[in-house]
Amino acid sequence: MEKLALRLFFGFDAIMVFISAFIALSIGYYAGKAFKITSERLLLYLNLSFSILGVGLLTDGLTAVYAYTSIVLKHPSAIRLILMVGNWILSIAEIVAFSLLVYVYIKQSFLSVGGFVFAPLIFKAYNPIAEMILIFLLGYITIQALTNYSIRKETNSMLVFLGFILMLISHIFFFLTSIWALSYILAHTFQLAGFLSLLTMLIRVNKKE
Amino acid sequence: MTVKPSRYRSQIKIYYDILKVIWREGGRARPTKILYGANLSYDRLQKYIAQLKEKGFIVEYRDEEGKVVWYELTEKAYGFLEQFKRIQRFMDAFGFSI
Repeated sequence: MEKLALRLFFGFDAIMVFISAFIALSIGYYAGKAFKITSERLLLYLNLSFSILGVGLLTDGLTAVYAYTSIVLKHPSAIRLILMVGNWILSIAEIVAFSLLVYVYIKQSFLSVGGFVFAPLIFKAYNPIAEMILIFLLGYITIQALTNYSIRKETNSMLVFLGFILMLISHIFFFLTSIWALSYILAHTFQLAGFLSLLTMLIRVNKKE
Repeated sequence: MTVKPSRYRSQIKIYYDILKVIWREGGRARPTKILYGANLSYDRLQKYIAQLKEKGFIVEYRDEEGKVVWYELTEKAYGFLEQFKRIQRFMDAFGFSI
């Protein structure tokens, strides 16, 4: 029963993170392609930000896959260390990526102003300090995205705002993971919804008029 | 809460503005239309027109006296306009502008 719970946990973790990584890398790729055409530096920052985020998520997803296969192969020796390293890489990648986004917004600102089932969480305790930094960074980005939406009133701007606010909520839930185990699932769900919102924007942007 | 004025126009944005004026005129436009539509001085327009011709975005047509009658968009220009519009929508979504 415990092994099944662990497998379910790491399977869920890996799938959610891989989908988010794919979306982040797609946005990063598109921004890079647009930078090649326009030589606009803001696009280069967007490319770097989402690519770093994507690589961080991918690393975290790979560590979850490693943990999953280790449990299946009954070889769980280094799981804790690998997960911790993967999680640190993701935290650092997210802080760097969102700091870059905050920098871009400042540069071109519009404003002058659980129970048994969740036992595996002990392996993957999210770093509360990193989460607090991320909540702060995402809070700033969300306010900028909201300001942009209130000015433009366009669906694409709304989707970007929605994407960032969902990511902000997800990191609030990640922060609460240590005191409320169920919040881990909610955090992943909100994170995925946030990335899906950004993916919808990317698809809409590339639709022929 | 105040909105900052837009930044200077980048070279690529000026290309886009010139090509958009010609596109709005149905794919071919007279120099004076472009001059006013793209909000450029005569000297700057001449500079950018020469660059656009060199890049294969526009073709120049002259009358018997050698005077420029109009500029016409090429297929390459239509492709560029479509790509640029998408990039602009992408940047607008984040609240950035080119």
